[in-house]
Amino acid sequence: MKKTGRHNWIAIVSILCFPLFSWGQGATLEATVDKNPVSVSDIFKLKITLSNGKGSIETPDLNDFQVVFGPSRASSYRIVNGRQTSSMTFSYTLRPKETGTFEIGVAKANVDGKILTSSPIKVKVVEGASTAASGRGKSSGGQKASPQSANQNLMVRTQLSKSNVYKGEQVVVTYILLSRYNNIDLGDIDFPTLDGFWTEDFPEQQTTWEPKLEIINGVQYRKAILRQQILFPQRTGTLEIKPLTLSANVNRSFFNPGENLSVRSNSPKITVKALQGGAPKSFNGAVGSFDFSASVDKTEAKANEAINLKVKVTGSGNLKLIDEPNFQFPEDFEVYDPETNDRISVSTGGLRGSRTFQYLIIPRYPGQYNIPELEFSFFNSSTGKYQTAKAGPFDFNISDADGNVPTAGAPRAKNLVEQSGLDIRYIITDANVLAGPRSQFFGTPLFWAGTAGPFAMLFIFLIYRRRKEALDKDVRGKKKRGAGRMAQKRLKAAQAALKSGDSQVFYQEIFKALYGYLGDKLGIPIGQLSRQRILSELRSSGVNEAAVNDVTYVIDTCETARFAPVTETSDEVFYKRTAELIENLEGRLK
Amino acid sequence: MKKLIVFCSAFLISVLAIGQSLDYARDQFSLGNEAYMKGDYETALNHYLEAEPSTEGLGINYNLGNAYFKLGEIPESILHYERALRFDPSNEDVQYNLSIANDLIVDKIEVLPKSKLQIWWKTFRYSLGPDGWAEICIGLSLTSVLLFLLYYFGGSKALRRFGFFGGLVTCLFLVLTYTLAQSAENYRYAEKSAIVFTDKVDVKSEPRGGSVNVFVLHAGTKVDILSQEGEWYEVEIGSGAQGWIYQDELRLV
Repeated sequence: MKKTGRHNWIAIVSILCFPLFSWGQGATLEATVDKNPVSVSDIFKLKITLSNGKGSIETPDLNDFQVVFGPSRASSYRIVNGRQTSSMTFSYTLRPKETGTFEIGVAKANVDGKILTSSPIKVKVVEGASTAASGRGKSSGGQKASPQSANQNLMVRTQLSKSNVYKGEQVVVTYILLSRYNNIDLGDIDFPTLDGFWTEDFPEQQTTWEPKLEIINGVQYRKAILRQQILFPQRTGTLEIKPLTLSANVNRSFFNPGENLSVRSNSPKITVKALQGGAPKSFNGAVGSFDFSASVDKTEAKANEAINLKVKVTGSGNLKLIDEPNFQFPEDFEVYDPETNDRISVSTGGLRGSRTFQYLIIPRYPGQYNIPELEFSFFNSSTGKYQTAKAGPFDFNISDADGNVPTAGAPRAKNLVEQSGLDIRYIITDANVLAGPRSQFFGTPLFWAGTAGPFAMLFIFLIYRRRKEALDKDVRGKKKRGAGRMAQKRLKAAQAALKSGDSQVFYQEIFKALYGYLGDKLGIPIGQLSRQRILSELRSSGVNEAAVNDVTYVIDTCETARFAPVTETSDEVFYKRTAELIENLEGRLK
Repeated sequence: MKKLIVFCSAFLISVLAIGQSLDYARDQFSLGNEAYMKGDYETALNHYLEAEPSTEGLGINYNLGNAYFKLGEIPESILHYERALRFDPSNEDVQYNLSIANDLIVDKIEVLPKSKLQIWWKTFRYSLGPDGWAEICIGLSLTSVLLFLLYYFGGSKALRRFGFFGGLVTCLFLVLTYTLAQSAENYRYAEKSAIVFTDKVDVKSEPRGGSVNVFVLHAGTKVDILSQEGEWYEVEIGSGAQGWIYQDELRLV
């Protein structure tokens, strides 16, 4: 019993002592004023506070103001929840000398050889009457307080984590209430409608004051977060977040109905950049930073047995906007729409977590199958580039009901070939199909030569032939027409021979005259002239037998006369007879 | 004599130049095909475009159409498929790809139905192209002259009669074939149609900016050109509707 008590004591002492060695968060130096802007006829307080440190403080130059009171010095020392804090404060009460903007320079403190500085404060001094000193001051004006002053003591702000983002990149927006009133009842809060954004709200929380005070322009405010949201811009360009309006009642007490105030926040702008071109084929709108993994529950299965494919996207970004990736599954796999499971948390870091797509796959036929590498692409907003993550590929051995896996070549159940993808047909690969521009054969001189040439040649040939024929005909006609005259000439020669008494020549001339005449008249070439031919031609051209006999007689006589003198008739009579015969034939052979 | 030499050498040089540029076109075409095979459609397109000025015909236009299609430029691809069809209207590959490209454009036009005979006639008319018909022309011309010669020198009466009438009939076919060749040439070079290139075009009732909008066309739609008035074209679409389009909105096939 005693022993135990002792141990307890040690524990208590160590708990008490241990915090003594833990000084807050190091020394800080702050300069604050209790109001800003200040009216020229008003007074205000400047406080310079050194927390958690010991050292000398060098106060700033206050020549622009009249020091009404101060510096007064105060120290405090506190232990809260075992944490030790100390502070030393210099306070001044100041009165402005004239209107304008004046700067209270930096205060410096030397703590353990380290120089700390406070931030300078710009004090705006304006015309006008004294305003409510602070939230805690008496509100003499009641509800008539000017909005100007109300805005100084009660403010709402819209803060963005980023103002220059890519489309789809997440931005955390925080609506903050800043107040210098102690006693405040919040009325309606009108949050802006956000056009052009997809929003994700933080989980609802009670609005509470933050432990740390916020210093704006040297004035301290209490701060509370009204709401936080994550925005995903869906449009490019400059998007404006409309102001938030808030109404509140302040300083209400038992004796005082309080003051109704209405304030509007700022309206910050976001510049939204478009994603670059050249997105990978598998890009599906995911923006952020993700990991991608895929797994199957089995790779050996029987036909018609279900296989689960789990595809998981983990990371931070617009997770809730990621659609199921589009994968290429083998034709013989029946794939059902995936089941989507989210494990997503919303925090000031943005949307973070994982989204899982679970595919149910049923292979319909036995065989060896392959799901090719699965791809997931996203736009990495921090690097500004597309990234593609890959998983797989997966090979499956699907056996039939008896557990046999057919090899690739084996026959299998037939199924209808279906066209699953639509694409254009392939290019022509043979460069020899190319022809020169306007290399058309039709209409060229060669074409005309080929088409009209044969006809031209035919015509030329026919014309030539006809000409020749006509010429030939002409020669015969001339001979025919001239036959009588030629015979006359020869007969004349025969007469001359008769007169000279040359009987031999006489008969020769007579023979020539008749032969030549008949040859020309009947159109027989000289080479073919014969007694036989002449007689047959004469008969066929309708000359009577008497005339033919006469011709025979004359020819016979002439032929006899070559070898022996003619006795049966005188030369004169024979001449006359021949001349008569020719005349007679001339009449018949037209 | 000197003139003849000059003329001959000039002719030879021009023939050689055409030959060389055709070789160049074939090289570029092959390079384009290699790039296309690798899926680098951008490079393939550049090579095809390089080859285009020194060649014509189905091959270059078909491949250009494919490259444009792969790059997502549908109106361009339709333009080149239509050009390819000018050289062989019955080519199945071109027709198939054109139908796919046409499925991707905005306008769906109710095409007036054509009878089987009309379709057959069109296919028949353009199947051989002007050159094919021209070759048949020459064959017919030779045959008919031979038949006429048979008429002149034929031994028997029957043979001569056959020669005469055969020659006449062949002559008739020759005239017909010539007409077909000419119509095929017209279809290839003279008949005018165009592809709309602007995303949205108001087709007007008159060749004037302020006139009434008759209907609206979108990029990729084919129109037939009926006439031209200054900078405006009178067009007709497959459904038979007519109107006027400003020249910058179109590109002629």
